[in-house]
Amino acid sequence: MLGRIRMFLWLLVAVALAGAVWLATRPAAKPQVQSSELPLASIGGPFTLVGSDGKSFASSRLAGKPFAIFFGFTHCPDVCPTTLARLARLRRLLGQGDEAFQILFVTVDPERDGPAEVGAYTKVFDTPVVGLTGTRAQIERVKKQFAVYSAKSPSPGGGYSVDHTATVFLMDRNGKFLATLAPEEADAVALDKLRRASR
Amino acid sequence: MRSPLPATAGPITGFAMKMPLLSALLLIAACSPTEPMIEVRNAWARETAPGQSSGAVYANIVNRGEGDLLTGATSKRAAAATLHSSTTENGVSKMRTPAGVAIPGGATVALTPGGTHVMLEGLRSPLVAGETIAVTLRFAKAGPKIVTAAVTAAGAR
Repeated sequence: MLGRIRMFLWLLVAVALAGAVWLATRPAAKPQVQSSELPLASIGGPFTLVGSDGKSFASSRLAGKPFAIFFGFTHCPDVCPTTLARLARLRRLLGQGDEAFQILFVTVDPERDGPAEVGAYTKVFDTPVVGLTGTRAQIERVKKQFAVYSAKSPSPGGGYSVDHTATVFLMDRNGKFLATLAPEEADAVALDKLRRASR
Repeated sequence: MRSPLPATAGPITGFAMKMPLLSALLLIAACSPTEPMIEVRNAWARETAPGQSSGAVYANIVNRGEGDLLTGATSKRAAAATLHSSTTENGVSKMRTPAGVAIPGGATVALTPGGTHVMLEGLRSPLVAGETIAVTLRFAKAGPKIVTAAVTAAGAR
């Protein structure tokens, strides 16, 4: 009897050791949202920006439809078009039409990106993408709501590029945060989230 | 690399006139493996919007020889072409300009979206899907290589 208890205790020790080793060696999970002191659930909220037609765009216009929102700038040749192209492709793969979820592009560079610039930039994807800009105050406010970081970075040529959060936020039909889409995750993972959002 | 044919200079010249294929083979055989042997494949660029100031060119750089360095690029389509690398750390994307991109011997270096690419700054006209653009990549040892990049629809890949 005593032997069996002892064996059981040793077994516990072995399990604890294995657990400790696993904890120490597993790859650390990458945080997907930088800066956010905001808990993910509080991401989002009502916003008013300016559409590509130059008119005020209130988020209430999105009510009833899930949306994927991405922050970038139109002088961005790589990450921003790649992300928007990916969203367009994912929406095609989802096979539920353009109504499945809306794609929103919000500039973090309102000094250079007016309504015309975001309009032209979003039109090139051959699928509806809502391009949004706004006053500096409006952009700062919406950035805060989505815990988005951005900062200008001078280019050698004299201009500047913008470092910015490249996470896509997926919001449900009530405008509530549902999930993030990270650039490095597989299409299957992203599609699963989008399927949940558009259900 | 040893050529199966006698590699004396005299006979080859006359030989080359008659046998272009064989002479090409001999030329390849004569290439010393200690030199970079750079080949740029599958170069492409994403279509850009009217008014968009910059675009990006991607490609696979295959090096069958010794290590080399991609030092820069030029293109008539843009005021400047620069090496750029995008990195995403903790969700934040940044673009930086490396002085060069190492192309190790025997390796293929992929210039891919979200990674290292050639940024065309100050586009003279938008990149239109279906057209091809010429970009010259400069290598420290292999010299300039003219590359033809296919422009693909913005949402295609």
